[in-house]
Amino acid sequence: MTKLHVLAIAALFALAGCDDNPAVLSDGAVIGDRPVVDAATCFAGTPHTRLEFLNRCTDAETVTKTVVLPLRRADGSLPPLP
Amino acid sequence: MKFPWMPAIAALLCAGSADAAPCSDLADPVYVSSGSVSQPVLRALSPVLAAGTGADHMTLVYVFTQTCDTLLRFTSGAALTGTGVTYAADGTATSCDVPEGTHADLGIGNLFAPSCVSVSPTVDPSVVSDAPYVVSPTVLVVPVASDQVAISAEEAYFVYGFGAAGMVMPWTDEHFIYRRTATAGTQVVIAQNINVPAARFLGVDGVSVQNLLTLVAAAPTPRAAVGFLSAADADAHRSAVRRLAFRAYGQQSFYWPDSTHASFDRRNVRDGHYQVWNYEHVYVPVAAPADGRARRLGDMLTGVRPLPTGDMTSVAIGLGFVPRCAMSVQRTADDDGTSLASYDPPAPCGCSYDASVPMGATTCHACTTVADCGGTGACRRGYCEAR
Repeated sequence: MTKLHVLAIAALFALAGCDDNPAVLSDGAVIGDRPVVDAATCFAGTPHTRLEFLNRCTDAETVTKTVVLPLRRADGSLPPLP
Repeated sequence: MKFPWMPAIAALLCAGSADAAPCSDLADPVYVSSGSVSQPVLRALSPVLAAGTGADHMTLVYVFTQTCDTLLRFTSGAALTGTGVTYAADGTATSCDVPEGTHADLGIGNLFAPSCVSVSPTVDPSVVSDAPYVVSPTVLVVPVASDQVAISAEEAYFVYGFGAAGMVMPWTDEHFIYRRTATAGTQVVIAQNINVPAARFLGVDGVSVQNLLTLVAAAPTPRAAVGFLSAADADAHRSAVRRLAFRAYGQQSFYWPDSTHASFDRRNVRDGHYQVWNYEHVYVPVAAPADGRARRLGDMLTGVRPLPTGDMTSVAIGLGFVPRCAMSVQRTADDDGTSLASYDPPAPCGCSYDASVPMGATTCHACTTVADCGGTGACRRGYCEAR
């Protein structure tokens, strides 16, 4: 573990201590300092479709979270409901 | 008061009690068949309308009915059942007996009327005029003691569609996965956004907004608990439940309804980044008299007619709803955002909305007349708006 890692973890623990700012989660989710949206991939034009509205560039706060879906199919699709 | 809805619940629990007076004894009763989301609006408007004069004088009688049941009654002509609730100026709820054979004058629910046809095939949407009046976001929530802050549509698909078998940590115990029923508006809007039919949600029925809130907040295993509420209900109890940021199918990032997890500005709802929302709708029977109290009330709710005192926009903002004048997107159907389109409200109020919400602020110019706005646009509610 590098010094940078240690400093980052210490900073995250400090943030987690805030009363209303659960910044670091045990499953790795982090409430980010805005913005987290990738400016290279967000939609910068005038939105017309659902996905364009959803992925329009914004400075709103976002969350970084690694989603784990054991039942997701290998091709990325979701299985039908049981 | 931490749970302001308690008096209403107490009043409803007293249904049919021998000492409840007939609602027909009230002065100018207007029977409103409504789900629970708009109940705070009815409570807020009751003293305003009780102080009205002439045709604007009304005693609102709230009869709890889920959205599609309201529309089913308007279609079939069935009378109201249950107990009416009225609200005093201080918000105190009192129950009254709805006389046999009484019909609803006006309905309020959270679906476009045609959406109910899939739930109740005999519903005829053409028997009512259907006018959206405010926007109500829905949020997935966890106890504040949980360490979770976000959920994706895919995760929610497995949680509510597969239950424990979905293996989405930490929501794998169906005893702590809370839902409503297939006809509850909040469940319908979640269903549309996660692709699980509302009738196929697994988990424990929270029965009511209030009970679900209590179940989630007091779950013995906080990390395993999850449920959903209107954002207004969740916001009123942020000390008990935490709202989860949501990532829709195809979306790159997770967002709260608001621009941050701590704010109240509904910015992501208003600009289309957070699409788990629906309108609260006013349903007025097409047969209602043109200048009758039902139509007048409907017009007041939708802003067509002013309230006797105060204004509907302020009422809506104060209760955690988003007035349509503050929206820059609109939808024409209850869906996952497919019908979403840009919206230019005829009398925008985004500036005053931003300034009015808790912790709110705006960069718009304050004004008292349009002259303060450089001669362009309009001075609305104290701020310069585009028109």
